[in-house]
Amino acid sequence: MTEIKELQTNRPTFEEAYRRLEEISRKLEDGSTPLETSFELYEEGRKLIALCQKMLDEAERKITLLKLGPEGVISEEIKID
Amino acid sequence: MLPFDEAERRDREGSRARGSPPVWSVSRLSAEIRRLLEEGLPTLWVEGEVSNFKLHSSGHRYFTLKDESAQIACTMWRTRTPPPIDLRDGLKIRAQGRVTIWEQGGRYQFDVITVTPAGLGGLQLAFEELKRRLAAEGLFEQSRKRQLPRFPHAIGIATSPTGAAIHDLAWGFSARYPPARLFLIPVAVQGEGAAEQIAGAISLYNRLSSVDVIIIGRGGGSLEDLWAFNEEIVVRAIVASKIPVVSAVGHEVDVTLADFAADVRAPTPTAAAALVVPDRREMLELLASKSDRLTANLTRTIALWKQKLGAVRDSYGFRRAEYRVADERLRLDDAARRMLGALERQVSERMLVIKGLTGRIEALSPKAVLKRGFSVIHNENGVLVRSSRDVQIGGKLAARFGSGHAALYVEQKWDD
Repeated sequence: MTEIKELQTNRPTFEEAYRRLEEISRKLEDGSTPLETSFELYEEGRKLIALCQKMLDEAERKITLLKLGPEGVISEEIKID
Repeated sequence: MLPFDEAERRDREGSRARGSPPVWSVSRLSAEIRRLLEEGLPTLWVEGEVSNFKLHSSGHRYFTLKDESAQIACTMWRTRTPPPIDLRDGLKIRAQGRVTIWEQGGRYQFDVITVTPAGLGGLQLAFEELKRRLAAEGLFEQSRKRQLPRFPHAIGIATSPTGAAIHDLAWGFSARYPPARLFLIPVAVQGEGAAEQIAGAISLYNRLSSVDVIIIGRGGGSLEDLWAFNEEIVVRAIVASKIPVVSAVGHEVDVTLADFAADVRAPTPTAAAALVVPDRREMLELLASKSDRLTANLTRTIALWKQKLGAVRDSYGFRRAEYRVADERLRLDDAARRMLGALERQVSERMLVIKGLTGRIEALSPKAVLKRGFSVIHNENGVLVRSSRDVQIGGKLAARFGSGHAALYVEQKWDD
């Protein structure tokens, strides 16, 4: 169980980035957001779009093999050929 | 019956005394036959046709297994797992068990541990029976099917590590949607123990709770090859899973009980990716249009604030005398003007870049097509409908027009 947790990074998932982006869009559409906040949101939105685009362009072609051994689950990265 | 050693000792003495060939007691011969049979024939599978089937009131099952030229008496004790199919005369089955001797009766018999149907007829029959029984329990109900996540982060696959299916799945997912992480629990997909391994993989993914979709599947094969996906243990594991399960078994025409129980059925492993993850090209288009809207909204917000500020400035000029904090006002006014100037410059620079992009994006955008009067239809799972074969009468669909959406019910359909 721990082995899998360790593999996860701090980077937001695509879903998290995309949800935040939708939230920003909504706030920017709402005219009552203060000007400065709007500008900050805009910058954050641009960064999230770039991050999402990057994630969609990455091609890792990896698969994590999980095997149940006597010591628990072992994971092993293998390349997709 | 005498203890074995004792019988042997007496025989030795007897033969020594008379100098004649050893004479065995019936008990000893019987014990020796038992030893030879039980040691020489370990637990094995035998295939044959059931006859003289009797379900005793005690719950034990008695029958004969036969083929063209031989037969063997079988018993299946009440404590064994009940057969997946009702035994009856004429049914072809495979029975797992071992030969035992009933010494008092002088007979041998086959002690049956498990039974599976054999032959196409038997499998078909077992399929129909199990389907009826599990359907009656409500395991295939549409209402208990779970929605797949829109952007799966981690996908757990259970299939053979060497089959065609893992290749198709891995390529499909990595090409269509690179952000998804793929996991594989290798399992046998046919033969003894396959169903248990598939069910075990589903429950392991649930224990680890690190994936948000599970896919079980394998490439095409005969009804017998695909049989593991019809086993009750697999169906129950799918139903018990807290994580949505997609079945991707065989070819389009192959339907298994796992397909009925799964939250989504993919007609083939290759088709699974399109049902489970969004397409990266569509997502990139969507992101481009989001970027466009972000800029448009900021521009609008700035214009709004400029208007407000203008109103303040005007009122300041008009009612100057009434304000005691003139210096402060001036400073504020100046600061606001500078901030707006800077923002406007940045925005107009970006607008120039984006205007160039927008033209191109508009041409690609499905929205442009929709504005020309076409509509896009999705089913309840959000999957694009491309053919009337993909809709069911009475089913619900969602239509997207040039502007707005609508929910549709299918009254009639004509497949061409």
